[in-house]
Amino acid sequence: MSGVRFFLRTHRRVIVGVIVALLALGAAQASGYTTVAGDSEAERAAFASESESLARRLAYLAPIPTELMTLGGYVSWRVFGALPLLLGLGTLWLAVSMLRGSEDANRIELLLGAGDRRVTVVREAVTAFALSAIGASFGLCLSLWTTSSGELEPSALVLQAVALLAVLLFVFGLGTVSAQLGGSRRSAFGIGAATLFVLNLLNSLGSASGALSGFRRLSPLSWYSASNPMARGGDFSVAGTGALIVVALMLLALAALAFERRDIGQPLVAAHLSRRRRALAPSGVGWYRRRLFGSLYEQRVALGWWVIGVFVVVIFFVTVAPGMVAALEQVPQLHDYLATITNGDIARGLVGLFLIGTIQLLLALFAVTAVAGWAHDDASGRLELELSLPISRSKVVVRRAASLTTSAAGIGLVALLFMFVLAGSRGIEFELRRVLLAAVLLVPFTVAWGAIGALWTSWRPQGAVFVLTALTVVSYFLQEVTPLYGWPDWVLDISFFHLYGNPLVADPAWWRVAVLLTVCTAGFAGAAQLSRTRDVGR
Amino acid sequence: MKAIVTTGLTKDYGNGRGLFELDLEVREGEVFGFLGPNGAGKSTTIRLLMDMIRPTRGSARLLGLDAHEDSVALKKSVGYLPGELPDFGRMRCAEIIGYVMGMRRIDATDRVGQLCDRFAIDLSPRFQELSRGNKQKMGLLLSFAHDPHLLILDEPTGGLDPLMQQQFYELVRETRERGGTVFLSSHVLSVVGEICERAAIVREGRLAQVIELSDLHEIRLRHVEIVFAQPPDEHRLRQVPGIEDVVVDRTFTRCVLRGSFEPLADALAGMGVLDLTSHEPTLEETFLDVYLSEHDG
Repeated sequence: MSGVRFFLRTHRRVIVGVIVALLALGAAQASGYTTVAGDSEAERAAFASESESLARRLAYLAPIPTELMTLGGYVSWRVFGALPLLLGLGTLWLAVSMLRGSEDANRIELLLGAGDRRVTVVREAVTAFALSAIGASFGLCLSLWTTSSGELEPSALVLQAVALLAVLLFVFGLGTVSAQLGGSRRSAFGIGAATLFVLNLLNSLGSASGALSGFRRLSPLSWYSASNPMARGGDFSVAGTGALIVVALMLLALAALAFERRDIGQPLVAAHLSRRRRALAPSGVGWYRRRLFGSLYEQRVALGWWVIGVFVVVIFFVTVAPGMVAALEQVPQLHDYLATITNGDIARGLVGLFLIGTIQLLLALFAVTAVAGWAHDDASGRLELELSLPISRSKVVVRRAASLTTSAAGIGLVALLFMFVLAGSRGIEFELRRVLLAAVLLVPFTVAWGAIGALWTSWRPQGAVFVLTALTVVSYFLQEVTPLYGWPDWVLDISFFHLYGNPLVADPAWWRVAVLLTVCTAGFAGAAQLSRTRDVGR
Repeated sequence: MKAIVTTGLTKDYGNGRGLFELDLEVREGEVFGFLGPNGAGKSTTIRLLMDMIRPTRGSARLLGLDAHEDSVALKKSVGYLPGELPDFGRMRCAEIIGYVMGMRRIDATDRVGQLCDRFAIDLSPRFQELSRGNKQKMGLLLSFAHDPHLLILDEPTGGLDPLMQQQFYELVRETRERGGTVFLSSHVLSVVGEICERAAIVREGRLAQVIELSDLHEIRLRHVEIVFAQPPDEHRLRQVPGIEDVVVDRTFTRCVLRGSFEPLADALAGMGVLDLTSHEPTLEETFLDVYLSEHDG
């Protein structure tokens, strides 16, 4: 039991934070339904239709809703529909952090040294997670029930909570396996997140596109989507939930087995130490002497992976675009909307909207990982070593800004030029001028995130990643829900995604670009100023 | 010129933790030890000198320059070994050296080669593949590679094997011979006794005493346990200069020795010694011994 307490204690902030966020989410969604959907049946039907159009635009992120004219259907979509991905990423991080992160910090060695068996360590981590997940799931349902004025059925809420627990257990199992495969917490999370993203894509696109529906059942997330006990006429899938639990248990057993077989501190498949000739001379001095290039040189492998990632996204969108156009043409509102903004060329509009939106998300994530690296530099002592060299704190901030700017420019340009060529070869033509403009404008968009991260990191490195990730998610959804709920325009304009616009299909608003540039400049200038007064290090 | 001067240097973390009113002078060309038990304020002092943390009050000057205002110019002439090396992850050691040399904009390839030979360092592995001792050697390499005028080293011998400790002592002596200054912290008395000319003892965030090396030898005491083949001549043992608290139990003898070992070694000649062990007391014990004896006196 001490191991369970250990895992709960070392991750208590994340666990409590997630539970509080879920309680707030439940209360906000249930109590706000009447405000956004209206009171009359006609208002609710119109709301349901508009929301469904919106959901189809986000089909690659979340499943398409049903029965939005009832609170049950709305909550099923807005709360429980998005949770496998959003809460799933948190669950994945928790699994990887509990097992691989604790191992990186030598805490697992302490448990093993105290007499725990490895399988016991995995069991204790799962128990700690299960306790937290039960608290989170049922807390969310209680929050929904108390704020829905009895409109939601308690029995349906309990069944929904059970389905949510099953899918989270599956994601936790996926995380424990990833923790065995990755050589560090970061790489393990990358493996798990990529797998979860693919499974989510398979589920969501399978439900949106007839061409991909056959592959949908391969994704365990679709087994969760099969349960919809809160919508009118919905059902709880015993088979789907049972299958999720069985697969989760299999993954956990697999992780325990892999953990038994591998060396502590090494991934399951560890490369042998390379036999290299003894080296007595420094390398890369020339790169590091030009300080900007030094940062890029150091990140060369990671940058390569980011470029490969955006290439995969480009190939995916350009390839599936014709099939999606066929599916979306059956939705009159969306067809009209896309036809209007693309002068009738829906395929171009689709690639422009969805691809740029996804590349924006990826670059925002890139900025988050850069900020995570800066925070890690502070916590690990790397910044302290850097400041023991003849470099001012302001220059460290400037170097970070320059490195992020150059990387973002490179990734954005390569991605969009690749899209230009690939889409052109499939008959989807873009103006080169617009492609280049879109690539250039991706730079202030990305650097603006970095500027906020730099400002926060210079003030307080702990929590920078959490804050920036939360801002990214809020900003992304603001641009989606503001028009739908009729919020004022200024709300839309605080979303960086909206400030960027979509230069592939429409001219940008230059004052919005100026806002992004101002955020970049002010953020890094503030970061430089704050860094001069702060104590550095562990 | 003084290499280091601190005036009322204070870093108050609250609850009595931190460093308080440190007034210290380190001469140029001197090897100066900074002694204290864990948590006494050694690393806080070093991080204040390196401008990593900012003082609550007071100031520090290094090589005539202000530690905060002139920190960038100052660091061209300073070599620094932090208490814990950063985690460079998968970077190769050659790249880490390249990174530091590149950032300093110097070419020290020859010097790096010499130091690698001396400390038996191979720069080809990744940092995460290194043992603790090899990481410490990398840290020493990074701090000595540019031949700085002033070296500030936080626990420099931690993790080094005895052979490498000797190499380190030799390197420090060479630095002093060419006019360099070394300021090193340690919680091990013997490390400071080996190479320092003067040492400051810090306790609970306050400077307790600055002592000359000769004083250190005098106050240095050791617990000695001896096993004889036959019961020893207790009277002869008690006559040995510097010996105290002699307890004889048949063939086993326990005592405390202050100062040089030589008189005891002479006295033991021909007494049939089967086994002899000598332990250095903890710094806290030594400090309390000095502190209490001064107050009693």
